[in-house]
Amino acid sequence: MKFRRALVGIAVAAAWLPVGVPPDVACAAGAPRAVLVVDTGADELRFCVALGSHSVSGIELIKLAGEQHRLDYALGHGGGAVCRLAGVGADGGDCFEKYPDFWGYWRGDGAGGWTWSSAGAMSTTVEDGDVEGWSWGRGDSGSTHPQPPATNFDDVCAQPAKRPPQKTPKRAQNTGTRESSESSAEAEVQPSPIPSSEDLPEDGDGKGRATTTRRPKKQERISAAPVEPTAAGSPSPRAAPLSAPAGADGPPRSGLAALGMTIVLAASGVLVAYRRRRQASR
Amino acid sequence: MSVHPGAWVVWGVGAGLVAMLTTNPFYLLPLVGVSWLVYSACRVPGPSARSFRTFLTFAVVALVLRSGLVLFGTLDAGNLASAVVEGLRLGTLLVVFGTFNSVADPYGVLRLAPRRFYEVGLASALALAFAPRMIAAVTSVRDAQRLRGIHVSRMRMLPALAVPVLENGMEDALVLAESMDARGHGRGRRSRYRPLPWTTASWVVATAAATTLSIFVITALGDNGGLSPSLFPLTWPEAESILVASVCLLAVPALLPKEGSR
Repeated sequence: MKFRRALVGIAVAAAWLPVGVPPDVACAAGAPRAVLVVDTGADELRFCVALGSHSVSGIELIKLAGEQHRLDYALGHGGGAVCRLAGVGADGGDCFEKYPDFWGYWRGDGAGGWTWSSAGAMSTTVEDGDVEGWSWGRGDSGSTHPQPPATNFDDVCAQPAKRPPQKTPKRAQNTGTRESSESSAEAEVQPSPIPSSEDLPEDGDGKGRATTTRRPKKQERISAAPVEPTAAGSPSPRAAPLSAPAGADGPPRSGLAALGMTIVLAASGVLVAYRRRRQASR
Repeated sequence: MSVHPGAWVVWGVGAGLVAMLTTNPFYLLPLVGVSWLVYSACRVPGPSARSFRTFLTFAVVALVLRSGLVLFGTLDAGNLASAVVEGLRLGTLLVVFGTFNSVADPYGVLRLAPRRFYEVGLASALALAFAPRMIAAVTSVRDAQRLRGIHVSRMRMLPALAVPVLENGMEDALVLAESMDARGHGRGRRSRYRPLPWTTASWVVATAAATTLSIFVITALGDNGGLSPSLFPLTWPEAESILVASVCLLAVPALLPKEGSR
């Protein structure tokens, strides 16, 4: 049974690879599926991902999207962190080399909205009908990080009869594979933002509904990119993720209260021990 | 007022599970503080209380070793923080266990085992008592030899320490076996000598620990309340005041009125 499913999967993948048609078969009703939304700031990619097993982790969902929809991705920190999605992000081993821009992890709240995930993508469980989102941007919490576009499970993983979901993965497939080559081209173009924005329409193959409205955001990113390394580059870039948030706002007040409580507890422990010892010696 | 060993079991299990549920240092550090306070206020004098120091040493070693393991992988802030936090959790667990060991009499705990599991309970109690006994034996042999002018500091002198310690252990085991046999242990009979009362203090301790544990379990099942904060990217974790307060609730045994003389 499993074998046959695997064979079907391989056949589908083989049929799909040269043509570039998304495998709606993978999204056939019945099998557990989840939606993965990737918001690069310039593009919104939505994938209907078939889950191999009953539940997977957030990281595994990305890997599955890579297998099924050829989503370009790179993981780091022992496979627990997302470095690059759809050509956007860090290329090296350090996933936060572009910090404060990073891939924020969001989880669908079941009503199209998003909640900021407090857990890492390694330790979350994605089940049938879940919606997961990744958005590129700055901001360390759910209130400051840009949210992915509102997405309902049924918008993306509709029954095969519906047409709309097909469009998104197709775009995804194009940008996903091409964006990685584009990002290297981008690096050369970077100093002059105007030609790079000229690049966009042909690469985004014109069909993107949101591309025009969201383009300014991408430009921001491009123009910010060359500035950033000079600003944060002189010290070790490795240390940036640690020192940046620490220097920016320090531990929260509640954390300081907890530390204060620890000190009070430890001090009273010392006091009690001292008293006991004095009593014993008397 | 003395606390029933059963209440200490509830406390130990509660505190231990809380330590296992979270990697947030703002909950773990108060838990270490609480353990230390409870230890210093409630420890029972004897070899088991001395074992707290050993567990504390183990905790520090665990923390350092776990953090040191990072050097074998990619070294960056996130990985380092995750190693430190994991080590801190392990260390906290050891400290909690050391506290439990030194406040609850292991033989008192043994007597709680239901009749059917008596032998299992006996075996585990003996195993639990092994470490403190060993430490006590090493200390006494060392003291005795220091009096005779022998300093066990080099590897070559180790047999001089090990042989008497082993001998002591054998003797202890024989004495224990004989005394247990004499009291009818292992024949399915239980001693009714000096029953331990379940006092008000025991209720207070057990209730406090159960409350803390249930608050943490509910948080863990629910929206996660910063129990395992994000390390990639590395940010300062938030501390929910209700969770910090519930950790402090575990310090209740230290606030109970003491017995007149102990």
